[in-house]
Amino acid sequence: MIGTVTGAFTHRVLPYAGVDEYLDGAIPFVREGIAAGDRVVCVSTVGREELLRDELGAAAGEVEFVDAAAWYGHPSRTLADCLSDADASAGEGRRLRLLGEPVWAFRSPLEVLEWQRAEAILNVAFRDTGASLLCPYAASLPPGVVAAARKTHPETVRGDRASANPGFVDPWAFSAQCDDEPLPSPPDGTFALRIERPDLYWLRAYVADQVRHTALSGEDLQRLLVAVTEVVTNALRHGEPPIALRVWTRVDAGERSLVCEVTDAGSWRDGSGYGLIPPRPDRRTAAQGRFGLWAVRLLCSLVQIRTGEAGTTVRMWLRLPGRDGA
Amino acid sequence: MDTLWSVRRPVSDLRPGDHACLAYAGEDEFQHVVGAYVRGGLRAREAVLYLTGDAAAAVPGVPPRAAHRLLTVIAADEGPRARLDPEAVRDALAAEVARADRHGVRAVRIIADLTWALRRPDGLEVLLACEEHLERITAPSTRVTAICPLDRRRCDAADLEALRARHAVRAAPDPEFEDPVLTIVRTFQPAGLSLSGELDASRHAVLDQALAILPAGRDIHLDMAGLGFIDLGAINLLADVAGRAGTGSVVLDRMAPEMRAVLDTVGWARLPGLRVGAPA
Repeated sequence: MIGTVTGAFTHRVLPYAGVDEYLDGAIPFVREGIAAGDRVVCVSTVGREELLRDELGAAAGEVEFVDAAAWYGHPSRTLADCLSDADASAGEGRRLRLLGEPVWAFRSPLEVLEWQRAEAILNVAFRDTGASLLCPYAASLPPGVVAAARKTHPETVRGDRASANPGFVDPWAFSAQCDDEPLPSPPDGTFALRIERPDLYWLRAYVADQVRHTALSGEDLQRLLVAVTEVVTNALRHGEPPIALRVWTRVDAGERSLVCEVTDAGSWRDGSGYGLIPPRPDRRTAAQGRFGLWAVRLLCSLVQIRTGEAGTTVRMWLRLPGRDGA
Repeated sequence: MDTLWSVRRPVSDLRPGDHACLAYAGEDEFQHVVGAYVRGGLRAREAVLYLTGDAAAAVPGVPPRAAHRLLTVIAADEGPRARLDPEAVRDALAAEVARADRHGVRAVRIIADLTWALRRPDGLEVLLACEEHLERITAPSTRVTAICPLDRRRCDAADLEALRARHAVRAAPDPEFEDPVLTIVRTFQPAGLSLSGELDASRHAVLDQALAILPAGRDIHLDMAGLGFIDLGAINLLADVAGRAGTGSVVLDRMAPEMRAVLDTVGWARLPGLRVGAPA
């Protein structure tokens, strides 16, 4: 039964085919929370919200409804915001109970992968929060998305029953699987700028010059410069020469992106965290080292990392405004 | 406000012919800027003429009551009832400059600390007459530099404007650090540092050093208007400084909107002890 509120963290997937299965799982979860005095948040589309409100009746007034498109804006940011909500609720002695249906439509394969990784990593990030998260996944989603959900959620919900998920994979192992595929090579002829000096103002001037012809906004340029400086600073401190920077633009299904890649010959130790776990304000101890990678993820649309005996590659993506160069 | 024709120059960069003013509002600013000017002069074996109302006044930049062959204190106003006499000031300065010449001293620095005289009848007129003489001694000279500290607490707005208009140069504090990429200058109103250029890991140490000279127990204001870039490590360092016992907040003033956007994105602006202050 879901009903035993132990205060322990739970993260469950609710696979559903049709409205009835959705409500059969979601409504008991929400009502439980209201009865227990939890902070109950429902992240959904407008259509789902109406459905839930109808079913809950007056009790809907106890629930915060949030638009899914706004909530699921950026994997790392969503994770951090949700985590600080959980911490804030816990601070008031209340459990955060979140019904959250991730948005999968209109995501590129790379973005889908990052959202799946976030589903896995939150098992680590939320471990001590006592939050209760229920994630509905429609049967109509691509089979790979539903299959991944069974790897990233420790439990599955059917109606008001939760059972352990045999397919659940250790979050870090899942995250590593996300990075199994080698990165495609940069476009032929991409210039590799060698970085040898710790003074990086000339590097920023180079990057700014490279992106001058793109439609990157001033704010995004600043984000990119901060991210690149951070990654290069890490490479200078912890990596091995040669360190190189490459910049190119890429069009993917009409989406234009700027890609900025930093490579070095070193490899990261296991347990580096890859900047995936949000720092907690009250536990800000690891100020140095790869902690900055967390911020780099926030600054970029997407970050890819590969590290091993062949060296380390950090690829930072920034989405460019407009489609097809418009 | 800056006038179109006034030049802002760090005290150590003042050159012969410069007749500069320093409008200050606190003792620490006065000591910091005038002290650097006095010390720099003595170190370069230049004559330093300190024109003041009180012969017993301590000279900034040197130990109290330390006699120095090259340092001369000229008390321009002996006794509470006597008045500041522009012609006497002119004659005294001319005599000292001539004496420096005779002794082969290659340059003369004048400090004219006279705003106390504003409280006297016709104070402003007398002071402006003194400025006139200072201008005549300094401007055409290839060896004389002058700086007039203007105590804002003793000047009303009209006094200050009239006095500033007599100075083509405005003295500024010497940078705590300066290279082609980054300049750090101390500020006094509010107390803190003004940063310009770009700041990344290669210069975290100089930022840390500059922060260490600031008075303890107060908010630290950082004027970011001239800063084109700051890295995450520096923001982290500032948050650490703000977290130290006995320090107030670190306030980031006049940040460029792009930099503010970065802070908002990474959530650092919400760090305890770190505050975003005046807008750009």
